[in-house]
Amino acid sequence: MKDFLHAVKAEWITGRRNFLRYSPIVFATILCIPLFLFISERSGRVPPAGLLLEAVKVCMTGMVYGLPMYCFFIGILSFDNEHKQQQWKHINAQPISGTAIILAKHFYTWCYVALSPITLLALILVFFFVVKLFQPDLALGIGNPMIWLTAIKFWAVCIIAGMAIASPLNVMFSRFASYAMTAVPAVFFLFLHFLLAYMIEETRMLVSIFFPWLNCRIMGQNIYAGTSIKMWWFLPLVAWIAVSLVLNLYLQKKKPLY
Amino acid sequence: MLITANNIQVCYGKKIALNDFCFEMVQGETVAILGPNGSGKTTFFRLLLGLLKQKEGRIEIMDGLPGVRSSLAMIGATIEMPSLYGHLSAIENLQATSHRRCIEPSKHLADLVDEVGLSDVGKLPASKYSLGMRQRLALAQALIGEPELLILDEPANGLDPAGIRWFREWALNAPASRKLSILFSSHILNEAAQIANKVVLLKDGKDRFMGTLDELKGPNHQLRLVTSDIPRSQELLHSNGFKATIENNALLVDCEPEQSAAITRIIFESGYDLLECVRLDSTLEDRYFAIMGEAS
Repeated sequence: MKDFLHAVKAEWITGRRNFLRYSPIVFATILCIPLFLFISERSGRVPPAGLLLEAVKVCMTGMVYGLPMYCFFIGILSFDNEHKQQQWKHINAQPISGTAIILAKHFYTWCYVALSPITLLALILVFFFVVKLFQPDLALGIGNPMIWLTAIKFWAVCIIAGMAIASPLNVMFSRFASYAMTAVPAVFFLFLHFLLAYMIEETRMLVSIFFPWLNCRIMGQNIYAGTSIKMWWFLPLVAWIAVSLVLNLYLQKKKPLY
Repeated sequence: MLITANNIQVCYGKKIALNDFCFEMVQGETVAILGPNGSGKTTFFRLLLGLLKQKEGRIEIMDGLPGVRSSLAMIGATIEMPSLYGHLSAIENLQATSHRRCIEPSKHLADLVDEVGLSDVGKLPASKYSLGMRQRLALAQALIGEPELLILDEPANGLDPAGIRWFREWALNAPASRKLSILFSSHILNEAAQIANKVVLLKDGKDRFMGTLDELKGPNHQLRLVTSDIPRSQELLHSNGFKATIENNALLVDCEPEQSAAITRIIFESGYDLLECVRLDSTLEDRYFAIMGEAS
Protein backbone atom coordinates (compact mmCIF):
# COMPACT_ATOMS: atom_id res chain seq x y z
CA MET A 1 0.00 0.00 0.00
CA LYS A 2 2.89 2.33 0.87
CA ASP A 3 4.44 1.61 -2.53
CA PHE A 4 1.15 2.32 -4.25
CA LEU A 5 0.74 5.67 -2.50
CA HIS A 6 4.29 6.68 -3.43
CA ALA A 7 3.68 5.57 -7.02
CA VAL A 8 0.49 7.64 -7.20
CA LYS A 9 2.30 10.69 -5.79
CA ALA A 10 5.05 10.21 -8.39
CA GLU A 11 2.36 10.06 -11.09
CA TRP A 12 0.86 13.27 -9.75
CA ILE A 13 4.23 15.04 -9.94
CA THR A 14 5.10 13.76 -13.41
CA GLY A 15 1.64 14.83 -14.60
CA ARG A 16 2.46 18.49 -13.93
CA ARG A 17 2.40 20.84 -16.91
CA ASN A 18 0.98 17.99 -18.93
CA PHE A 19 -2.11 18.41 -21.10
CA LEU A 20 -3.55 15.39 -19.29
CA ARG A 21 -4.23 17.62 -16.27
CA TYR A 22 -6.62 19.83 -18.22
CA SER A 23 -8.15 17.10 -20.34
CA PRO A 24 -11.41 16.65 -18.27
CA ILE A 25 -12.19 20.37 -18.61
CA VAL A 26 -11.39 20.39 -22.33
CA PHE A 27 -13.42 17.23 -22.93
CA ALA A 28 -16.43 18.51 -20.92
CA THR A 29 -16.28 21.93 -22.60
CA ILE A 30 -16.27 20.34 -26.04
CA LEU A 31 -19.32 18.30 -25.04
CA CYS A 32 -21.10 21.42 -23.81
CA ILE A 33 -20.66 23.15 -27.18
CA PRO A 34 -24.14 21.95 -28.39
CA LEU A 35 -25.66 23.56 -25.31
CA PHE A 36 -23.96 26.90 -26.00
CA LEU A 37 -24.85 26.69 -29.68
CA PHE A 38 -28.44 25.93 -28.75
CA ILE A 39 -28.65 29.17 -26.75
CA SER A 40 -26.87 31.32 -29.34
CA GLU A 41 -29.22 29.97 -32.06
CA ARG A 42 -32.12 31.39 -30.15
CA SER A 43 -30.45 34.81 -30.17
CA GLY A 44 -31.03 35.98 -26.65
CA ARG A 45 -34.39 34.35 -26.02
CA VAL A 46 -34.29 31.88 -23.16
CA PRO A 47 -35.46 28.44 -24.39
CA PRO A 48 -38.17 26.49 -22.64
CA ALA A 49 -37.06 24.16 -19.86
CA GLY A 50 -38.01 21.01 -21.76
CA LEU A 51 -35.78 21.94 -24.70
CA LEU A 52 -32.92 22.76 -22.38
CA LEU A 53 -33.15 19.35 -20.73
CA GLU A 54 -33.13 17.71 -24.18
CA ALA A 55 -29.93 19.62 -24.96
CA VAL A 56 -28.43 18.37 -21.70
CA LYS A 57 -29.28 14.81 -22.72
CA VAL A 58 -27.39 15.38 -25.97
CA CYS A 59 -24.34 16.46 -23.98
CA MET A 60 -24.55 13.42 -21.71
CA THR A 61 -24.99 11.07 -24.66
CA GLY A 62 -21.97 12.75 -26.23
CA MET A 63 -19.98 11.91 -23.12
CA VAL A 64 -21.00 8.24 -23.28
CA TYR A 65 -20.07 8.06 -26.95
CA GLY A 66 -16.93 10.11 -26.50
CA LEU A 67 -15.58 8.04 -23.61
CA PRO A 68 -13.72 5.50 -25.78
CA MET A 69 -11.86 8.27 -27.60
CA TYR A 70 -11.18 10.11 -24.35
CA CYS A 71 -9.84 6.94 -22.70
CA PHE A 72 -7.69 6.32 -25.76
CA PHE A 73 -6.31 9.82 -25.45
CA ILE A 74 -5.57 9.75 -21.70
CA GLY A 75 -4.09 6.25 -21.97
CA ILE A 76 -1.58 7.45 -24.58
CA LEU A 77 -0.73 10.57 -22.59
CA SER A 78 -0.22 8.81 -19.28
CA PHE A 79 2.27 6.26 -20.68
CA ASP A 80 3.84 8.53 -23.27
CA ASN A 81 6.30 10.22 -20.90
CA GLU A 82 7.82 6.99 -19.68
CA HIS A 83 8.19 5.57 -23.18
CA LYS A 84 9.53 8.71 -24.83
CA GLN A 85 11.94 9.63 -22.07
CA GLN A 86 13.15 6.07 -21.48
CA GLN A 87 11.97 6.02 -17.90
CA TRP A 88 11.15 2.33 -17.53
CA LYS A 89 14.70 1.12 -16.91
CA HIS A 90 15.13 3.92 -14.38
CA ILE A 91 11.86 3.03 -12.63
CA ASN A 92 12.71 -0.68 -12.59
CA ALA A 93 16.04 0.09 -10.93
CA GLN A 94 14.23 1.69 -7.97
CA PRO A 95 13.16 -0.12 -4.80
CA ILE A 96 9.45 0.06 -5.59
CA SER A 97 7.30 -2.79 -6.78
CA GLY A 98 6.40 -2.88 -10.47
CA THR A 99 2.86 -3.87 -9.47
CA ALA A 100 2.46 -0.57 -7.59
CA ILE A 101 3.71 1.41 -10.59
CA ILE A 102 1.31 -0.28 -13.01
CA LEU A 103 -1.63 -0.02 -10.60
CA ALA A 104 -0.86 3.67 -10.03
CA LYS A 105 -0.91 4.27 -13.79
CA HIS A 106 -4.33 2.62 -14.08
CA PHE A 107 -5.61 4.46 -11.02
CA TYR A 108 -4.44 7.76 -12.46
CA THR A 109 -6.30 7.22 -15.74
CA TRP A 110 -9.39 6.09 -13.82
CA CYS A 111 -9.29 9.35 -11.87
CA TYR A 112 -9.49 11.28 -15.14
CA VAL A 113 -12.30 9.03 -16.31
CA ALA A 114 -14.16 9.80 -13.08
CA LEU A 115 -13.42 13.51 -13.28
CA SER A 116 -14.65 14.13 -16.81
CA PRO A 117 -18.40 13.37 -16.19
CA ILE A 118 -18.24 15.35 -12.91
CA THR A 119 -16.77 18.27 -14.83
CA LEU A 120 -19.51 17.94 -17.45
CA LEU A 121 -22.24 17.91 -14.80
CA ALA A 122 -20.65 20.87 -13.04
CA LEU A 123 -20.50 22.83 -16.31
CA ILE A 124 -24.15 22.03 -17.03
CA LEU A 125 -25.08 23.16 -13.52
CA VAL A 126 -23.18 26.43 -13.97
CA PHE A 127 -24.94 26.87 -17.30
CA PHE A 128 -28.33 26.33 -15.64
CA PHE A 129 -27.58 28.91 -12.96
CA VAL A 130 -26.62 31.44 -15.62
CA VAL A 131 -29.89 30.76 -17.45
CA LYS A 132 -31.77 31.16 -14.16
CA LEU A 133 -30.18 34.58 -13.70
CA PHE A 134 -31.83 35.77 -16.88
CA GLN A 135 -35.16 34.09 -16.29
CA PRO A 136 -35.74 33.37 -12.59
CA ASP A 137 -39.18 31.90 -13.23
CA LEU A 138 -37.91 29.16 -15.54
CA ALA A 139 -38.63 25.74 -13.99
CA LEU A 140 -35.55 23.63 -14.70
CA GLY A 141 -36.30 21.05 -12.08
CA ILE A 142 -32.90 21.32 -10.41
CA GLY A 143 -34.57 20.82 -7.06
CA ASN A 144 -36.09 17.53 -8.25
CA PRO A 145 -34.27 14.58 -6.59
CA MET A 146 -34.88 12.43 -9.70
CA ILE A 147 -32.67 14.72 -11.75
CA TRP A 148 -29.85 14.28 -9.25
CA LEU A 149 -30.40 10.51 -9.13
CA THR A 150 -30.10 10.44 -12.91
CA ALA A 151 -26.90 12.49 -12.68
CA ILE A 152 -25.42 10.08 -10.12
CA LYS A 153 -26.41 7.09 -12.27
CA PHE A 154 -24.89 8.76 -15.29
CA TRP A 155 -21.67 9.34 -13.39
CA ALA A 156 -21.59 5.71 -12.13
CA VAL A 157 -22.12 4.38 -15.65
CA CYS A 158 -19.44 6.67 -17.06
CA ILE A 159 -16.86 5.77 -14.45
CA ILE A 160 -17.39 1.98 -14.60
CA ALA A 161 -17.62 1.92 -18.38
CA GLY A 162 -14.70 4.33 -18.69
CA MET A 163 -12.56 2.15 -16.46
CA ALA A 164 -13.49 -0.89 -18.53
CA ILE A 165 -12.54 0.94 -21.72
CA ALA A 166 -9.36 2.52 -20.34
CA SER A 167 -7.94 -0.62 -18.73
CA PRO A 168 -7.46 -2.80 -21.84
CA LEU A 169 -6.23 0.24 -23.77
CA ASN A 170 -3.72 0.91 -20.98
CA VAL A 171 -2.36 -2.63 -21.33
CA MET A 172 -1.56 -1.88 -24.96
CA PHE A 173 -0.17 1.58 -24.27
CA SER A 174 2.06 0.26 -21.50
CA ARG A 175 3.54 -2.54 -23.58
CA PHE A 176 4.24 -0.73 -26.83
CA ALA A 177 6.26 2.45 -27.10
CA SER A 178 5.33 3.00 -30.73
CA TYR A 179 2.15 4.92 -31.46
CA ALA A 180 1.49 2.85 -34.56
CA MET A 181 1.66 -0.41 -32.62
CA THR A 182 -0.89 0.83 -30.11
CA ALA A 183 -3.04 3.12 -32.18
CA VAL A 184 -3.80 0.71 -35.02
CA PRO A 185 -5.42 -2.06 -32.93
CA ALA A 186 -7.04 0.47 -30.59
CA VAL A 187 -8.63 2.52 -33.39
CA PHE A 188 -9.71 -0.68 -35.13
CA PHE A 189 -11.31 -1.78 -31.87
CA LEU A 190 -13.15 1.53 -31.45
CA PHE A 191 -14.46 1.52 -35.02
CA LEU A 192 -15.62 -2.04 -34.61
CA HIS A 193 -17.54 -0.92 -31.56
CA PHE A 194 -19.30 1.92 -33.34
CA LEU A 195 -20.09 -0.36 -36.26
CA LEU A 196 -21.52 -3.04 -34.01
CA ALA A 197 -23.37 -0.52 -31.88
CA TYR A 198 -25.36 0.62 -34.92
CA MET A 199 -25.69 -2.66 -36.76
CA ILE A 200 -26.44 -5.15 -34.03
CA GLU A 201 -29.56 -4.41 -32.06
CA GLU A 202 -30.98 -7.80 -31.15
CA THR A 203 -27.76 -9.47 -30.07
CA ARG A 204 -26.13 -6.48 -28.46
CA MET A 205 -26.38 -7.93 -24.97
CA LEU A 206 -24.28 -10.92 -26.05
CA VAL A 207 -21.84 -8.76 -27.96
CA SER A 208 -21.55 -6.39 -25.01
CA ILE A 209 -19.66 -9.06 -23.07
CA PHE A 210 -16.78 -8.62 -25.50
CA PHE A 211 -17.20 -4.91 -26.15
CA PRO A 212 -17.63 -2.94 -22.93
CA TRP A 213 -18.50 0.21 -24.87
CA LEU A 214 -21.82 -1.33 -25.81
CA ASN A 215 -22.80 -1.74 -22.15
CA CYS A 216 -21.98 1.87 -21.63
CA ARG A 217 -24.29 2.83 -24.46
CA ILE A 218 -27.11 0.55 -23.34
CA MET A 219 -26.91 1.77 -19.77
CA GLY A 220 -26.70 5.36 -20.94
CA GLN A 221 -29.87 4.95 -23.00
CA ASN A 222 -31.63 3.41 -20.01
CA ILE A 223 -30.77 6.37 -17.86
CA TYR A 224 -32.20 8.88 -20.32
CA ALA A 225 -35.28 6.71 -20.89
CA GLY A 226 -35.82 6.60 -17.13
CA THR A 227 -35.72 2.78 -17.03
CA SER A 228 -33.68 0.97 -14.42
CA ILE A 229 -30.19 -0.36 -15.15
CA LYS A 230 -29.88 -4.11 -14.93
CA MET A 231 -27.04 -4.92 -12.62
CA TRP A 232 -25.67 -7.78 -14.73
CA TRP A 233 -24.59 -5.27 -17.34
CA PHE A 234 -21.86 -4.25 -14.94
CA LEU A 235 -20.44 -7.77 -14.84
CA PRO A 236 -18.67 -7.77 -18.23
CA LEU A 237 -17.34 -4.31 -17.43
CA VAL A 238 -15.86 -5.42 -14.11
CA ALA A 239 -14.52 -8.55 -15.80
CA TRP A 240 -12.80 -6.40 -18.43
CA ILE A 241 -11.19 -4.27 -15.73
CA ALA A 242 -10.03 -7.32 -13.76
CA VAL A 243 -8.68 -9.21 -16.78
CA SER A 244 -6.82 -6.13 -18.02
CA LEU A 245 -5.21 -5.51 -14.63
CA VAL A 246 -4.18 -9.13 -14.15
CA LEU A 247 -2.80 -9.26 -17.69
CA ASN A 248 -0.83 -6.05 -17.24
CA LEU A 249 0.62 -7.15 -13.89
CA TYR A 250 1.47 -10.61 -15.27
CA LEU A 251 3.25 -9.08 -18.28
CA GLN A 252 5.15 -6.70 -16.00
CA LYS A 253 6.35 -9.62 -13.87
CA LYS A 254 7.15 -11.82 -16.85
CA LYS A 255 8.80 -9.21 -19.02
CA PRO A 256 9.28 -5.85 -17.25
CA LEU A 257 9.01 -2.70 -19.33
CA TYR A 258 12.29 -1.12 -20.39
CA MET B 1 32.39 -7.97 -0.10
CA LEU B 2 30.08 -5.45 -1.81
CA ILE B 3 29.79 -7.19 -5.17
CA THR B 4 30.86 -10.67 -6.19
CA ALA B 5 30.28 -11.95 -9.69
CA ASN B 6 31.50 -15.36 -10.76
CA ASN B 7 31.64 -16.79 -14.27
CA ILE B 8 28.84 -14.63 -15.60
CA GLN B 9 27.49 -15.32 -19.05
CA VAL B 10 24.87 -13.12 -20.70
CA CYS B 11 23.60 -13.56 -24.24
CA TYR B 12 21.44 -11.33 -26.44
CA GLY B 13 20.14 -13.96 -28.82
CA LYS B 14 23.25 -15.49 -30.37
CA LYS B 15 25.53 -12.63 -29.36
CA ILE B 16 27.46 -13.21 -26.17
CA ALA B 17 27.56 -9.95 -24.20
CA LEU B 18 29.42 -11.22 -21.14
CA ASN B 19 31.44 -14.41 -21.15
CA ASP B 20 32.90 -16.04 -18.05
CA PHE B 21 33.13 -12.61 -16.44
CA CYS B 22 34.35 -12.38 -12.86
CA PHE B 23 34.30 -9.28 -10.66
CA GLU B 24 34.85 -8.34 -7.06
CA MET B 25 34.42 -5.06 -5.24
CA VAL B 26 34.74 -4.19 -1.58
CA GLN B 27 33.21 -1.37 0.47
CA GLY B 28 34.76 2.06 -0.04
CA GLU B 29 36.39 1.29 -3.38
CA THR B 30 36.05 3.39 -6.52
CA VAL B 31 36.15 1.02 -9.46
CA ALA B 32 36.29 1.98 -13.13
CA ILE B 33 35.20 -0.40 -15.86
CA LEU B 34 36.91 0.45 -19.09
CA GLY B 35 36.33 -1.00 -22.49
CA PRO B 36 35.30 -0.20 -26.04
CA ASN B 37 31.67 0.13 -27.11
CA GLY B 38 29.83 -3.16 -26.93
CA SER B 39 32.30 -4.70 -24.51
CA GLY B 40 29.59 -5.45 -21.95
CA LYS B 41 29.93 -2.58 -19.45
CA THR B 42 26.26 -1.52 -19.48
CA THR B 43 25.16 -5.16 -19.59
CA PHE B 44 27.02 -5.76 -16.34
CA PHE B 45 25.40 -2.71 -14.73
CA ARG B 46 21.99 -3.89 -15.84
CA LEU B 47 22.72 -7.26 -14.27
CA LEU B 48 23.62 -5.61 -10.97
CA LEU B 49 20.31 -3.74 -10.94
CA GLY B 50 18.28 -6.82 -11.78
CA LEU B 51 17.23 -5.40 -15.16
CA LEU B 52 18.74 -8.45 -16.83
CA LYS B 53 19.21 -12.08 -15.84
CA GLN B 54 22.44 -13.91 -16.50
CA LYS B 55 22.40 -17.19 -18.38
CA GLU B 56 25.12 -18.66 -16.20
CA GLY B 57 27.07 -17.70 -13.12
CA ARG B 58 26.18 -16.07 -9.84
CA ILE B 59 26.08 -12.48 -8.66
CA GLU B 60 25.85 -11.30 -5.08
CA ILE B 61 25.41 -7.66 -4.30
CA MET B 62 25.35 -6.49 -0.69
CA ASP B 63 24.90 -10.08 0.45
CA GLY B 64 21.76 -10.45 -1.63
CA LEU B 65 20.67 -11.12 -5.17
CA PRO B 66 20.53 -8.30 -7.72
CA GLY B 67 17.19 -6.59 -8.27
CA VAL B 68 15.79 -7.37 -4.82
CA ARG B 69 14.31 -4.47 -2.95
CA SER B 70 16.84 -4.49 -0.10
CA SER B 71 19.79 -4.15 -2.48
CA LEU B 72 18.09 -1.63 -4.80
CA ALA B 73 17.37 0.57 -1.76
CA MET B 74 21.12 0.87 -1.18
CA ILE B 75 22.09 1.47 -4.80
CA GLY B 76 21.88 4.72 -6.72
CA ALA B 77 22.32 4.29 -10.44
CA THR B 78 22.33 5.98 -13.81
CA ILE B 79 22.15 3.63 -16.77
CA GLU B 80 22.93 4.71 -20.33
CA MET B 81 21.46 8.17 -20.97
CA PRO B 82 20.02 10.20 -18.05
CA SER B 83 16.34 9.34 -17.54
CA LEU B 84 14.61 12.65 -16.86
CA TYR B 85 11.17 14.13 -17.42
CA GLY B 86 11.81 16.98 -19.81
CA HIS B 87 8.76 19.02 -18.77
CA LEU B 88 9.70 18.97 -15.07
CA SER B 89 12.23 21.10 -13.20
CA ALA B 90 15.25 19.66 -11.42
CA ILE B 91 13.47 19.58 -8.05
CA GLU B 92 10.34 18.03 -9.54
CA ASN B 93 12.41 15.32 -11.21
CA LEU B 94 14.06 14.60 -7.87
CA GLN B 95 10.67 14.57 -6.09
CA ALA B 96 9.33 11.99 -8.54
CA THR B 97 12.43 9.81 -8.14
CA SER B 98 12.24 10.22 -4.37
CA HIS B 99 8.71 8.82 -4.36
CA ARG B 100 9.83 5.99 -6.61
CA ARG B 101 12.51 5.19 -4.06
CA CYS B 102 9.67 5.15 -1.48
CA ILE B 103 11.14 8.16 0.32
CA GLU B 104 9.08 11.22 1.20
CA PRO B 105 10.71 14.22 -0.55
CA SER B 106 12.39 16.65 1.82
CA LYS B 107 14.36 19.90 1.77
CA HIS B 108 17.39 17.67 1.33
CA LEU B 109 16.56 17.56 -2.41
CA ALA B 110 17.39 21.25 -2.79
CA ASP B 111 20.79 20.51 -1.22
CA LEU B 112 21.34 17.80 -3.81
CA VAL B 113 20.55 20.24 -6.64
CA ASP B 114 23.05 22.59 -5.04
CA GLU B 115 25.65 19.86 -4.65
CA VAL B 116 25.59 19.00 -8.37
CA GLY B 117 25.81 22.68 -9.28
CA LEU B 118 22.35 23.14 -10.79
CA SER B 119 20.88 25.61 -8.29
CA ASP B 120 20.99 28.43 -10.87
CA VAL B 121 18.93 26.49 -13.40
CA GLY B 122 16.96 24.38 -10.95
CA LYS B 123 13.62 25.90 -11.92
CA LEU B 124 14.05 25.40 -15.67
CA PRO B 125 12.45 22.37 -17.29
CA ALA B 126 14.97 19.58 -17.82
CA SER B 127 14.36 19.66 -21.58
CA LYS B 128 16.26 22.94 -21.64
CA TYR B 129 19.34 21.35 -20.06
CA SER B 130 22.49 20.44 -21.94
CA LEU B 131 23.70 16.83 -21.82
CA GLY B 132 26.21 17.78 -19.13
CA MET B 133 23.49 19.34 -16.97
CA ARG B 134 21.33 16.29 -17.47
CA GLN B 135 24.24 14.12 -16.32
CA ARG B 136 24.53 16.22 -13.17
CA LEU B 137 20.82 15.93 -12.46
CA ALA B 138 20.96 12.18 -13.06
CA LEU B 139 23.77 12.04 -10.51
CA ALA B 140 21.59 13.94 -8.02
CA GLN B 141 18.78 11.45 -8.69
CA ALA B 142 21.15 8.58 -7.97
CA LEU B 143 22.14 10.17 -4.66
CA ILE B 144 18.60 10.26 -3.28
CA GLY B 145 18.25 8.13 -0.17
CA GLU B 146 21.97 8.16 0.71
CA PRO B 147 22.90 4.99 -1.20
CA GLU B 148 25.95 2.95 -0.23
CA LEU B 149 26.83 2.05 -3.80
CA LEU B 150 26.71 4.34 -6.79
CA ILE B 151 26.62 2.82 -10.26
CA LEU B 152 27.32 5.40 -12.95
CA ASP B 153 27.30 4.59 -16.63
CA GLU B 154 29.75 6.93 -18.36
CA PRO B 155 29.14 9.83 -15.97
CA ALA B 156 31.60 12.17 -17.70
CA ASN B 157 29.87 11.77 -21.06
CA GLY B 158 28.71 15.19 -22.27
CA LEU B 159 30.45 17.15 -19.53
CA ASP B 160 32.55 20.15 -20.56
CA PRO B 161 36.13 20.45 -19.23
CA ALA B 162 34.91 22.35 -16.16
CA GLY B 163 32.24 19.72 -15.60
CA ILE B 164 34.77 16.89 -15.93
CA ARG B 165 36.97 18.62 -13.38
CA TRP B 166 34.00 19.14 -11.08
CA PHE B 167 32.98 15.48 -11.39
CA ARG B 168 36.55 14.30 -10.72
CA GLU B 169 36.77 16.34 -7.54
CA TRP B 170 33.32 15.24 -6.45
CA ALA B 171 34.12 11.57 -7.10
CA LEU B 172 37.39 11.83 -5.20
CA ASN B 173 35.68 13.34 -2.13
CA ALA B 174 32.37 11.44 -2.15
CA PRO B 175 33.62 8.04 -0.92
CA ALA B 176 34.85 9.66 2.30
CA SER B 177 32.20 12.35 2.78
CA ARG B 178 29.20 10.21 1.84
CA LYS B 179 30.58 6.77 2.79
CA LEU B 180 30.04 5.69 -0.79
CA SER B 181 31.48 3.06 -3.05
CA ILE B 182 31.48 4.05 -6.71
CA LEU B 183 31.39 1.76 -9.71
CA PHE B 184 31.53 3.60 -13.00
CA SER B 185 32.27 2.98 -16.64
CA SER B 186 34.19 5.28 -18.90
CA HIS B 187 35.81 5.67 -22.26
CA ILE B 188 38.28 8.22 -21.00
CA LEU B 189 41.22 6.27 -19.70
CA ASN B 190 43.15 9.06 -18.02
CA GLU B 191 40.01 10.46 -16.42
CA ALA B 192 39.16 7.07 -14.96
CA ALA B 193 42.74 6.66 -13.76
CA GLN B 194 42.52 9.88 -11.76
CA ILE B 195 39.35 8.81 -9.95
CA ALA B 196 39.46 5.04 -9.57
CA ASN B 197 41.61 3.02 -7.25
CA LYS B 198 40.78 -0.18 -9.09
CA VAL B 199 40.37 -0.78 -12.81
CA VAL B 200 38.65 -3.49 -14.81
CA LEU B 201 39.38 -3.81 -18.51
CA LEU B 202 36.60 -5.44 -20.43
CA LYS B 203 36.66 -6.54 -24.02
CA ASP B 204 34.21 -8.73 -25.93
CA GLY B 205 32.47 -9.57 -22.67
CA LYS B 206 35.64 -10.88 -21.00
CA ASP B 207 37.61 -9.30 -18.20
CA ARG B 208 41.13 -8.75 -19.56
CA PHE B 209 42.46 -7.14 -16.43
CA MET B 210 41.30 -6.43 -12.90
CA GLY B 211 43.55 -4.75 -10.38
CA THR B 212 44.88 -1.51 -8.98
CA LEU B 213 46.25 1.27 -11.15
CA ASP B 214 49.82 0.44 -10.12
CA GLU B 215 49.25 -3.15 -11.13
CA LEU B 216 47.91 -1.92 -14.48
CA LYS B 217 50.90 0.32 -15.08
CA GLY B 218 53.15 -2.63 -14.11
CA PRO B 219 56.94 -2.64 -13.71
CA ASN B 220 57.50 -2.09 -17.41
CA HIS B 221 60.11 0.59 -17.68
CA GLN B 222 62.42 0.55 -20.67
CA LEU B 223 65.75 2.08 -21.58
CA ARG B 224 66.38 3.05 -25.17
CA LEU B 225 70.08 2.83 -26.01
CA VAL B 226 72.02 3.63 -29.17
CA THR B 227 75.61 2.31 -29.04
CA SER B 228 78.48 2.07 -31.52
CA ASP B 229 77.77 -1.69 -31.85
CA ILE B 230 74.17 -2.51 -31.19
CA PRO B 231 74.19 -6.32 -31.82
CA ARG B 232 77.18 -6.87 -29.54
CA SER B 233 75.74 -4.60 -26.88
CA GLN B 234 72.56 -6.70 -27.00
CA GLU B 235 74.57 -9.90 -26.46
CA LEU B 236 76.40 -8.25 -23.62
CA LEU B 237 73.21 -7.20 -21.89
CA HIS B 238 71.70 -10.65 -22.41
CA SER B 239 74.74 -12.22 -20.75
CA ASN B 240 74.19 -9.86 -17.80
CA GLY B 241 70.60 -11.00 -17.40
CA PHE B 242 68.76 -8.13 -19.13
CA LYS B 243 66.09 -8.56 -21.78
CA ALA B 244 67.03 -6.36 -24.73
CA THR B 245 65.48 -6.16 -28.17
CA ILE B 246 66.58 -4.24 -31.27
CA GLU B 247 64.02 -1.87 -32.72
CA ASN B 248 64.64 0.95 -35.24
CA ASN B 249 68.45 0.79 -34.85
CA ALA B 250 68.18 1.09 -31.08
CA LEU B 251 68.26 -1.25 -28.14
CA LEU B 252 65.17 -1.45 -25.93
CA VAL B 253 66.09 -2.85 -22.52
CA ASP B 254 63.42 -3.87 -19.99
CA CYS B 255 64.50 -2.78 -16.55
CA GLU B 256 63.53 -1.15 -13.30
CA PRO B 257 64.34 2.59 -13.03
CA GLU B 258 67.10 2.00 -10.49
CA GLN B 259 68.89 -0.43 -12.88
CA SER B 260 69.59 2.29 -15.48
CA ALA B 261 72.97 3.18 -14.02
CA ALA B 262 74.11 -0.47 -13.97
CA ILE B 263 73.17 -0.90 -17.65
CA THR B 264 75.06 2.17 -18.85
CA ARG B 265 78.08 1.10 -16.76
CA ILE B 266 78.11 -2.32 -18.50
CA ILE B 267 78.18 -0.58 -21.90
CA PHE B 268 80.95 1.82 -20.88
CA GLU B 269 83.12 -0.87 -19.31
CA SER B 270 82.87 -3.05 -22.43
CA GLY B 271 84.40 -0.20 -24.47
CA TYR B 272 81.43 0.62 -26.71
CA ASP B 273 80.41 4.23 -27.23
CA LEU B 274 77.05 5.16 -25.76
CA LEU B 275 75.51 7.56 -28.32
CA GLU B 276 72.03 7.90 -26.86
CA CYS B 277 70.26 6.87 -23.66
CA VAL B 278 66.57 7.62 -23.01
CA ARG B 279 64.30 6.21 -20.30
CA LEU B 280 60.87 5.14 -21.65
CA ASP B 281 58.16 4.73 -19.06
CA SER B 282 55.16 2.94 -20.50
CA THR B 283 52.01 5.01 -20.08
CA LEU B 284 48.65 3.79 -18.93
CA GLU B 285 47.52 4.08 -22.50
CA ASP B 286 50.37 1.84 -23.69
CA ARG B 287 49.39 -0.76 -21.14
CA TYR B 288 45.74 -0.45 -22.07
CA PHE B 289 46.47 -1.11 -25.71
CA ALA B 290 48.94 -3.84 -24.85
CA ILE B 291 46.21 -5.67 -22.93
CA MET B 292 43.23 -4.84 -25.10
CA GLY B 293 44.91 -4.80 -28.50
CA GLU B 294 45.40 -1.86 -30.85
CA ALA B 295 41.87 -2.21 -32.31
CA SER B 296 40.42 -1.04 -28.97
